Amino acid sequence: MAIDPTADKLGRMPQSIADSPPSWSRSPLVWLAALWATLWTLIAIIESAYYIHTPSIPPWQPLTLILSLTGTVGVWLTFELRSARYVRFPLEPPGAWFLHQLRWLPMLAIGYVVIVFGLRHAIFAIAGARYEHLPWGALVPFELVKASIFYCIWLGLVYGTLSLLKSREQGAKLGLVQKALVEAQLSQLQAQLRPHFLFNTLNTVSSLMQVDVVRADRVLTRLGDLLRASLGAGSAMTVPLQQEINLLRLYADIMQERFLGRVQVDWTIAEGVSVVPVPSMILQPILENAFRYGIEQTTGVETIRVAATCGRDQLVVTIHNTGSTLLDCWQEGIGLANCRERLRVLYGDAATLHLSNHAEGGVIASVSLPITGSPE
Amino acid sequence: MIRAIIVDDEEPARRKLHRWLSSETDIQIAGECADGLSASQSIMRDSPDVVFLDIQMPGLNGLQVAAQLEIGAAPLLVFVTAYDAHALAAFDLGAVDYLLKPYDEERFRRALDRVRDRHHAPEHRRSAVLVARQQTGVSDRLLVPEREGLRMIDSAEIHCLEADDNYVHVHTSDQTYLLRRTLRDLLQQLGEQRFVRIHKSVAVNIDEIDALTPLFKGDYELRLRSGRLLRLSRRYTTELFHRTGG
Repeated sequence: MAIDPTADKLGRMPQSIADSPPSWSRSPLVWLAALWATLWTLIAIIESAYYIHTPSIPPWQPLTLILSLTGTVGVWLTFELRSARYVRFPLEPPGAWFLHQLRWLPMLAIGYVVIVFGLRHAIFAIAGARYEHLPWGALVPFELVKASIFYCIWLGLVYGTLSLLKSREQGAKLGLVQKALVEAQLSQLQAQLRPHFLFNTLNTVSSLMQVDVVRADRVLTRLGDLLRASLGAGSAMTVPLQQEINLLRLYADIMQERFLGRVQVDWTIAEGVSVVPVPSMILQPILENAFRYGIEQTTGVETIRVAATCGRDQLVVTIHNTGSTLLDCWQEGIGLANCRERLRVLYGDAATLHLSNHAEGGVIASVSLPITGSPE
Repeated sequence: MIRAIIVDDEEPARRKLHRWLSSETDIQIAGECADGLSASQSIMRDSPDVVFLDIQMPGLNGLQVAAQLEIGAAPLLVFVTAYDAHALAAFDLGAVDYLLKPYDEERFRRALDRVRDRHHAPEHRRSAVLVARQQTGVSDRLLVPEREGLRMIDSAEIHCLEADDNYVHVHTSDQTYLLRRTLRDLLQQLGEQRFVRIHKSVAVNIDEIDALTPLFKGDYELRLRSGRLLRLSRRYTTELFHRTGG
């Protein structure tokens, strides 16, 4: 269990929201334990009231009673907090969490009675005194019930505190995810509005209008859809893959109209992957790169292949373009860096984005992300 | 008749220009090119009067194409581009016109009227090429004909340049390219840094000079690293010694 005060900063989010082992700080629990120990001390004082108010009894006797109790509870709580088993088990559903914690109760309650009364008898015996209490037959059940009730109350407090901490942390994390998405949208919009793309597309429409109004209309509509998608994708953090593929098709259609006869785009979308949730606008910057380097900077007829396949628990989308090669000095642009960052915030190490030279020429970009454990 | 070449890597953009240009009675479309290199080739081969030149293209971009043109014989240039306003600002001195995509027919006709006005005014062509050279800083590279096509060579690869009428022989370690240019124009394009004239019709790469041997009347024999022997004319000795620190 990593307790890291910097864990809430961008860059140290190891897991998805749903599955993260929480990284709450334990310090609020320590305060809680201190408060709890104080309560126990008061109880101990009340319990030993008889001894305190009897002048013939030496003061070490009530002191022994109080310290044996608070000492035992203190050690117990310290052990509890160090073991971190409260935070290791998911808080949801609450019943399961309580049952999990209560498994320890018999051992803890018995241990409590044995240690507290063992200590007291031992200290009294060493001092040559006699420690009197209820007969064992009545005392043990009473003490066990008392310990159990107090332990349940303690667990309730721990649960409440942890829930509060977790909801706070989730709020912060959600903020981060949303921030990353907003950044992606912005950069996406900038890319969309990348002047060359926009003005050249408008010029294509202007040209088509003269000869084929229906086609001109189609390009214009696609440009509209694409701009709208970039502006409005904020409503959902993830979208079904199909929706993302539709966006890619809009873009590819426009580019194919612009670079008529210079590019062939193939789509291989496996059965059943269309509903898999993916972060919105995660693929488009990759396709854009494929056009930018594979098509716009070459003179031949090139091919772009978009493929989506489903492994047992991973979705893999590849975009392969011919016509370009990654050089050794190649550096990732802002669009790709942004995609990578979003994948990391959402999935941690479970998602990857990889670019490499393809064995048959060209460059292949591969995005792999988990199907289970996708963000809510 | 005004002969025009259309250069754009996007087919619809070419089609639009083609449509409007071909409706003009005094314009003849001499060719269409989809990239910078074939545009350079087409301009060299067909010597058009005007070139409608896109800037963002694969390989050689529009400005680089312009920078490689021979200054005295360059066609009129009309840049047609989506968003190179900063690059075009330099041309906005009336030297050349440009069309920003998308443009309408009225704007196109205005550009065409300017082409007609300047059709016989060579100074516009000259300044367009000069500005393009300033913009691209082209002195490191030279476009040379090779077999049927063209290729770019590094100006550092050039050993010496020899003028021959309206042509220049460009010698590298293993090749000689023949360019239809004047030596003066070529030296202007390649910059004065690397090359020095040693004769009315010969310039050498300063880094390639190996040895000088005095001859009669103040002339020298100049040997290049490649072993080639050339004559250094008396008239150019002062400049050479100054440039080489001798």
